[in-house]
Amino acid sequence: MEILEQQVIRQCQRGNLEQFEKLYDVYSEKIYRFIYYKTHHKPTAEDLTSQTFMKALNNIQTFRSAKGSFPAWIYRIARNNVIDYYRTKKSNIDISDVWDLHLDEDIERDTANKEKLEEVMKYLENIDKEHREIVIMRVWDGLSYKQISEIVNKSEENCRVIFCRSIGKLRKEVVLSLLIILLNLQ
Amino acid sequence: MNQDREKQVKVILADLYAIDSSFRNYEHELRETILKLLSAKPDVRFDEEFKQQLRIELMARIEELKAHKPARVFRMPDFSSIFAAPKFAYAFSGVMICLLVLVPVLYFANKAGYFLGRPETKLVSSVSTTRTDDNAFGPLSSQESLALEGRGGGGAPGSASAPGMEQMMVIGPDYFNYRYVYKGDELILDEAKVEVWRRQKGEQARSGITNLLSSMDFGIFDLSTFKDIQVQRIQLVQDKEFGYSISVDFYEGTVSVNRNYRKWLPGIMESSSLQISDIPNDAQLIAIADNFIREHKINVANYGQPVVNRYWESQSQTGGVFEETIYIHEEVSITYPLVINGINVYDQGGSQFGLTVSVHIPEMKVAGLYNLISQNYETSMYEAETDTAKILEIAEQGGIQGGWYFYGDGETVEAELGTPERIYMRFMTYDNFESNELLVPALLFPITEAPEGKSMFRKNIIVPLAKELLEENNDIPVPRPLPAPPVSSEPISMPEPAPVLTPAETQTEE
Repeated sequence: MEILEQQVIRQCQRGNLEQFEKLYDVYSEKIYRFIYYKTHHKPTAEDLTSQTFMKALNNIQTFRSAKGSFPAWIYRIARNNVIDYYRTKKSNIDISDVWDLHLDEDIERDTANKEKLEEVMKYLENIDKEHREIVIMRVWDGLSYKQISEIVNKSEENCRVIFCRSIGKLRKEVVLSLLIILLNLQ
Repeated sequence: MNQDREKQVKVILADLYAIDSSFRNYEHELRETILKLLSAKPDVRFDEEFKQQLRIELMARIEELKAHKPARVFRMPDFSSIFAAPKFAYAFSGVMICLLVLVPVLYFANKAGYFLGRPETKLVSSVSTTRTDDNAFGPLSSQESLALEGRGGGGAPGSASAPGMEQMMVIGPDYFNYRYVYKGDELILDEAKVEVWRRQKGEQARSGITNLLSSMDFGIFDLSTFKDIQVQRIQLVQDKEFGYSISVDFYEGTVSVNRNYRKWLPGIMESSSLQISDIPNDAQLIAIADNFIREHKINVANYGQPVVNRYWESQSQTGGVFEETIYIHEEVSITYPLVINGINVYDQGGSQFGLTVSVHIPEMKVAGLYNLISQNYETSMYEAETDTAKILEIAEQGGIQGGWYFYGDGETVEAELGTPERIYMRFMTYDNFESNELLVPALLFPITEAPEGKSMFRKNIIVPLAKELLEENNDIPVPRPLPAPPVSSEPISMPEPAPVLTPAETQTEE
C-alpha cells in the first residue's frame, strides 16, 4: 500500500490530480474522526475536514516523502486547522482544541457525546495537553508511535514514554476516584 | 467485552510493559483505565452525503487547477452558524419567510402543470458505495456468467479484401499454440477476502420525468389512467443534419448516443473502404472525442485518459502487401477507461472497459457514445485466492478461460508475462432475466515479450482473485476449434461466383 500511495502522490505532483481522489478515499474518514475527537462538533469537524483536504490538494506539490510520510503530513494539516480554528474563536487564551476548554465554556459541542466526554474529561484535563493528545491519538485514532511522532514532531521513543507515563498517571486518577466512591458509599 | 476491544486493550498493555515491565503489577487497574478511555470514545458516524459532497468539491477544484478557471460548486451553508451570528439573523429570517411562502406555491403550481420546471432526474455520476454482507451477490460463477467478452488468442483472423478488387484474395489465418511463461517479480497475496462491487440499478430518480409524463393525455389514449407507472427508457432524436439519437435507460442507469441515421448523409451508410493511411493520428481523434464530451457536458470524472483502439495494428503483419488487405471500419473507437478507487477496470478478455466514443472517419465527427453508466455500487466481501502458485498456473494457461488452442501441426510459441497490476475485472452474471454487473478484483499480467514475427491480439492475461471463480471455471471445457492445416502465407484465390440465372434459364422442359 505504501508504494502505491507514493505512486499516487507522484502522479498528482506530475499534474494527474484526479489521482488525489484515491488519497481522499483512504484518509477522509480517518481525518474526520481525528478532527471530531478534537472538536466534538459535527459541523465544525466537517468544515475542518474540507479545509484539510483542500489544503492538501492545493499544496500536494510541496509534499516531500523524504521529510515524512503522507499520513503524517495530512494529519498535521488537520491538527493545524483545528488549532487555528480555536485560536480564532478564543483569541485571548492559548487553546489547541476543545479539550482545553471547560465543559461549560461557550463553544459548540454535540450533545450526543457530551455525557461520555464528561466522564473522561475529569481524568484527561489533569494531564499535560500534549500528552493528552498523544493518548487520544494512540487509543482513539489507533495511530502508531511512528505516525504520532511525525505529527507532534517528537521522537518515536519519546512518544512511547509520554504515553506510558500518561497512562500511569491516569491509572492513579482512576484508582483515586474509585476509592473516593468507595469511601462515600461506606 | 467484545473481541475488538479486548484486542485493543492487549495491544496497549503490551506497549506499556515493553517500556516499563513494572506495569504488570498494575494490570487490573491499567485494564480499567484503558477500558474507561475506550468506552469514552465518541460515537462518530462519517456522513456519506458530506463525503460525496466534499468529493465533488475536490473534483471541481481539480478541474479549476488544471484549467485555471474558477469552478462553481454549490455547497449547502451551515445554517446553525448563521443563526449564531446576530448580524445575519434579520436578513436570514427574511429569506426564510420568503422561502416558506414561495416553495409550497411553486411546488403545487408545478404539480398542477402550470409551468414545467426542469424535472429532477439524475443518474449518479460520482462513485458511491454501500457495503453489504459477505457473499451478498450469490455465487459468482455460473454457466451464464462465462460469456466471454473480447476473447482473443494467438493467430490472425482471415482478412477480407478491400471491396472493388476483381479477384478476392483471402489470407489464410495462422494457427499457433501459445505457451505463457511468467517472468515477473515474486507474487505475494495476503488478503483473505476481496471486495466485489455490484453496480446498482433500478434505483434511479425517475420520479421527475414520471410526474411530468404520467399526467399526459396523448389524445388517442390517456396515460394518466395507468396507475403506478414508471419511466424506464426514453429515446430522444435530433432532427437535423448529422443529428443524434440519445437513449437513456433509467433502469440500467446507462446513456448511449448514436447517429440519427436518417439525418446522416446517405452515402455514409455504406461501408467504405478505408486504408490505414486514412486514419488520423491519436491526438486528432482524441481531440474530436474530447470536444464532443465538453460540448455536451458529459461527466468523465471517473474515467481515465482516453486510448484509441488501433485494432488493425494487431492484424497487420510484416510485409506491406498484407496491410492493404486489412479491413478498416469507417468508425474508430476511443475508450476512456473506467477507474474505480484509482483502479482500472477491464473486461475478461483484457480490454479496458470504459466510456467509448466512436469517431466516423470520413466525416471526422463523433458517431456514437456508449457505456456512460451510473456509478452507484454495492460491495460485498468474497473469499480470496492466496495460493500464488495457483494464480500463476492459471495465468500461464491464458487465464480462467484459456486461450485458443490448436492441436496437430500447429506451432507452439512462447510469450512472456510480466509483473501483474491490480485491476477490477468486469464480469456479468445472470439471474432470472436480470443481469448483474460485477467488478471483481483481479491481477492483470501484461504480455511483455511476444513471439517474434507472430501477431498477438492479446496484450495481457487476467486472473480474478475471488477464489470461487478459480475453483469452478477451470473445469469447464473450452471449445476447441477443429485441427487446422499447417501455416500457409500464400494468398488463396477464391473461385468465381456462380452466375445468377434468369427465370427463363431456370425453367426445365417438361
